[in-house]
Amino acid sequence: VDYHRVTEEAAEGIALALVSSGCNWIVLRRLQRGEVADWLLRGSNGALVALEVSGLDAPDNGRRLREKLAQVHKARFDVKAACLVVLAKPQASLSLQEGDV
Amino acid sequence: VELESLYEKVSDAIFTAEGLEATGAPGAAEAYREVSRLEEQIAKLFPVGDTEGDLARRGAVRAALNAGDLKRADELQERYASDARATKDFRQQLEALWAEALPGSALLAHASHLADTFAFSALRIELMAA
Repeated sequence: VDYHRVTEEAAEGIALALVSSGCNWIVLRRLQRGEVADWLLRGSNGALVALEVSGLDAPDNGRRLREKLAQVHKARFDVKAACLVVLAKPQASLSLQEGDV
Repeated sequence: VELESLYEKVSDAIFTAEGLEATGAPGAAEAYREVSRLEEQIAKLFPVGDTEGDLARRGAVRAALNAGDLKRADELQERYASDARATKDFRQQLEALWAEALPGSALLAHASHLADTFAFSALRIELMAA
């Protein structure tokens, strides 16, 4: 299994579901690698939206999202958007047994 | 409806081609040829200068290059660039695809092939004139 590809595909699925339900954007098509975005969508007002999607295992303080926004900014579409999906939720567990602390 | 269907097909075809290429599996070249054919069909539905149409025209050339079909990429680029409505910016975008897709040596080899072809054509014209 190509772990990187699995992460990207999972991120794409979540991102498309998010913009579809949250923004009412309609997915038109996938773009080839080398274009400045991953997907072309149509907004509810008819605008063409270029969407770049990225997936991460852990939060990075928005660095990747800023990079992707800068990348998609070069696109010649009405709206340029980037979506970052963080797949692994940070979790800390602390368990104490009886005893003095 | 036709565009919707083509968009669905090209999305699937891109997914397949890039997946095969990433894993080194056989069939990537043929998959990219299919992407190029679909992009060409999409391009026919839009005039030159239209955002979606120009995206498809770039896509047709890009996929032909990824398939290693330089002849087809050259023909498509020539056709799209020679359209009177094509802007200088769009022509430059098409030219840039070659540099992106081909390493320097392959680009030189292609340029050499074109130069040979041109020289042969010029020679033939001269012979016919004589």
